Formats: sequence, C-alpha cells, structure tokens
Amino acid sequence: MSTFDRRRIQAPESSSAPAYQQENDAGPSRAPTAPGDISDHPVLKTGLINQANGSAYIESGSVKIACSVYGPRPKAPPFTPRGSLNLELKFAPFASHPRRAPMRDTEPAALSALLTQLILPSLHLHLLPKSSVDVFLMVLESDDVSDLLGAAHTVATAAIADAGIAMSGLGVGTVVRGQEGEAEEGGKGAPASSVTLGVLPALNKVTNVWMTGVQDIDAVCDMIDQGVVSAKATHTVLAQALLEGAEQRGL
Amino acid sequence: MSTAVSPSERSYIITGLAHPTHPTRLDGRGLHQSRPIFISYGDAPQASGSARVTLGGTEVLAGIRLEVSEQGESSRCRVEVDVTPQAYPTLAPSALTAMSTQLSSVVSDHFVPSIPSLPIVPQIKYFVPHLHLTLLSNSGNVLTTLILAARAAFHDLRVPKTKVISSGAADDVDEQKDLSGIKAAVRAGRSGGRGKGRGTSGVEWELDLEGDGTMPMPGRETLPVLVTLNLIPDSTTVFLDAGLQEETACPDRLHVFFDAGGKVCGMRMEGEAGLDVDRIRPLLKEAQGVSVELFASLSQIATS
Repeated sequence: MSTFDRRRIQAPESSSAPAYQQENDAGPSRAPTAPGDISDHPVLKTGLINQANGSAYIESGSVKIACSVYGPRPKAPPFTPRGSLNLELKFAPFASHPRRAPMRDTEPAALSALLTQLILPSLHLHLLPKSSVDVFLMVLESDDVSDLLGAAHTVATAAIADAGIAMSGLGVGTVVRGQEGEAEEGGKGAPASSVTLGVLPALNKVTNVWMTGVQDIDAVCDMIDQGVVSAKATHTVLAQALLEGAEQRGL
Repeated sequence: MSTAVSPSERSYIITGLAHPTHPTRLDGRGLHQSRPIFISYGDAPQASGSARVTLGGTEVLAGIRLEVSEQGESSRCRVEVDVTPQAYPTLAPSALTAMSTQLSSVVSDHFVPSIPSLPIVPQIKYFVPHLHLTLLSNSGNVLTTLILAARAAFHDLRVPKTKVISSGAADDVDEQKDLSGIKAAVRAGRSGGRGKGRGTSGVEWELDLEGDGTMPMPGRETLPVLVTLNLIPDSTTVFLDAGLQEETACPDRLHVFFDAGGKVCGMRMEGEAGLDVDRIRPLLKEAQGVSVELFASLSQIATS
C-alpha cells in the first residue's frame, strides 16, 4: 500500500543544473597555480553600493571583493591636522575552504594593517584635516593572502576614486610568484617566494612591498620589475572601469 | 605613536640628516652607525631557551618553550609579542594589543619560516617552539631588537635528544595477533582513552640521555637578521638605527630580512611616502652589505 503525501511537493526524479549563457568575464574562479604566473586581468565595476560615497567590486583570478568607502567625514575630537584612514578588511565565513568561524577568523588585523600601508602613500591626507576616510572591504572568496592583498588594493583605489577623494595616482596591487626552492631531504622545499606590490604606475612609484619566501636580491628586483610592468595593464583596466562608472552616473 | 615632535624639531632633525656633506644626528652618531647591542643568554633558566637584548634603550626579553606536537598539528613555531605599557606609556591598552598583534604577524611572516623543524619521529611528531617576546622598553628600532632577541633565544635553545625505538611495520603485524592482550591494553591507555582510533601509528620514541640529554638546535647560525633602512623625506640618503625622535620625524622605512647566504627572506615597508622604483635595487644592495657586517659581528659574539 503506497502512501501518497499530499502536503509536500514532490521533486522530479531526475534534475540537472541550469545552463546559462556565458556573457561576461565574471564567473567561476581561476586560480593561478604555476610559478611565474601573474593573475589574469581583473573584472572591476564601480558604483554597486548606493548608500556609500563610493564603492567597487572586483573579481580577479580566485578572489572576489566588494569595497565601500565613506568619506571624508568629520571625526570626533581629538582633532588631527592630517586626515586619517580607517580600513577594515573582513572575510565572509564562506570565503575560504575550510569555513571561517565568524568573529574569530573573519577579521584579521594584520591584513588590514598591511592593506592600509599599501594605500596610504597614494592619498593626500594632509588635505583632509579633522576628517577620516573609512574603507570597508568584504572578501567573498579568497584562498591566497598575496592574491587577496593585490586585488584588495586595486578595488580600494577604485572605490576611493569613485567617492571623489583626491589621490596622487591610481594605486594598483600586483602579485608575482617565484620558483619553489630545492627540497631538503625528508622535508618540504623552501617555500615559494612571492612579492606583493602596491604600485602607482603613473608616478613609477611603489607604495609598499611585501615579500615572503627566500630569494636572491637580483631575483627579488626582477620580480618587482615584473610586478611594475603587469601593474600597468591592471591600471588600464582600473581607469577604464572608473570612466564607465562615471558615464553610467551621467557625469 | 611615539614621542610628539614639533614642526621645528622635525625640520631640525631632517636638515641634519639630509645634509649633503656633514650629516649629523641628535646623538652625534654616523648615519650608518648603530647604538651598542648587548646580548645575554639564559636569562630565564626555566625556559628551553632565553635571551635578553638591549639596543640603546630598547630592551627585549625572549623565551622559548618546546612542546610536542599532536599528530596532524602544524610544526611551525608560534610567536607571541607582548608590548608592555612601560614601553609606550602614552598608548591606550587597545592600541597596545593592536601593536602586539602587528609585531607578532611581522615576526611570524618573515622570521618563522626559516626556523628548521625539530623532528622527533619524522613526519609524525615534532617539537614545536613557542616563542614569547616581551618588549620592556622602547627607544626606537623595536623590530630589529625583537628579531635579534628571537635569534639569540634560538641560539640558547637546548633541544632534548630523542631516538626512535621501533619502526612500526613489524610491530603492527605482531599486535594484530595480540589484539586482546597486554599490548593492546597499554596502547589504549597511552592514547588517553580518546578512542576514535587515532593512535600514534605504532612508532615509539624516547629521550636519549647521553651527555646532558640536550643538544643545540641545528641551523641556529643561519637564522635571519633584519636590516631597517630609515628613509629621509625628500632625500636619497638612508640611515640606520633610528632613535625615538628620529623615528617620528622620519616615519618611512624599509625592513629587509636576510639569511646567512645574503638572500632576502622577507621585505616590508612602513610610512606614507612610497618609494621610487629605481631606488629599490640600490637600497637592497646597501641593506645586504649591512646584513653581512651584522652576521659577522653576531657570529663573533656567539663563538667567543
């Protein structure tokens, strides 16, 4: 005797995922895995968050970040002759594999400090006394810290520019990976080195260099030069995205 | 975050440092001259390794505690930096903890990867060093002192000698025949009754009591050092070992970590000015020269 469940809607016996037409570049992650690999050109869009003064969204390789900027807004006393930059980088619990615990793993202070250091040289904080610029980044997907910092720098610059805050140049983040060292017996090899750069391509300046791993001086300088060259391509994408955003808002 | 410096004091310091022919500093040192460094070992006899380093007025006490890793846990050294309120009397406690986290992450990112692993049973059990650095007073150049203290503590570290007494494969076969016997009961007791079959995969180890039972850590001479190049605004000269007021007047600096072979094993920048791309290579070469001198004098101290 078969029971027929009238209360629930029965699912079909077989189902398959819907097929979408791939129209734009945004989509599944593409993680760069080979040494000497530089992340693909990012996809960047501004103006997605209405309440913020400026906002931007980036998808670069396997990193997805949404950024919003509030400012310059007045700060509580004690007043300072220079403006201050408050940057907060947060992870969504689903951003990495394995899942990050909310409040414990989702707010790394060290990364926020590093990112503040990457962005600070491009701002004119001495032109904003008694004010603060607040930048909030939410990471939706990321597995690698170096890639994350590069993309976060680029998206934060886009959001700050979208908010109309003056900067000395458009700062762009790039990551360059080096070769893995020789393996010692019984253990892993020397960790593959990576250089995360914040670059102002228009002024040929570097805002910050963060390097991990072991490498010769000449190899490090070569990686930095490589990073500066690839930053120019990302700079073009960034400028293009800002222009499109401005056009869409009718400026 | 350090002493407040008025605009005229700042201008005085920078003009002295950037002078093209006779650069002068507040205490009369040369641009590349460091304050004297004092290192003492074994300041905390209960720790597995300890050291105290004084650089000018900056003082750091380092201690290492060795723990045995559980299976599956990482064997990477854990770092904790404790910034005492005496070092920064004007900072609020929340700012002190933020600074502690920041310094811990710098040490963990660039110094810890070069620490060799200390295997007891390779691939399964390791000694995990827990490094604790306490900043007792601050007179500038904090990061260099922290790294010197960490290095000295690892130099002082005595690792217990161990030996593996069974290889596991043959024993497993024997134990399968003896499942209801004594060996199984001992094994269950040793794993603490935690069940779930985690176990220690049958490899036993014990302390080797030959001599005093400890040995110095292999590879301790090659641990990295940090060279901090302080940049002067609107000038291409750099200087080493900034005092407190010099640090406030010249907030931009480049930190480079070098290993014994002259290779770069970490790099970081601080400050708001940024750096021209063309300056990076000569600065790195200069820092490498300084690191070679530093390694030479440190090894002299160690062997004497």
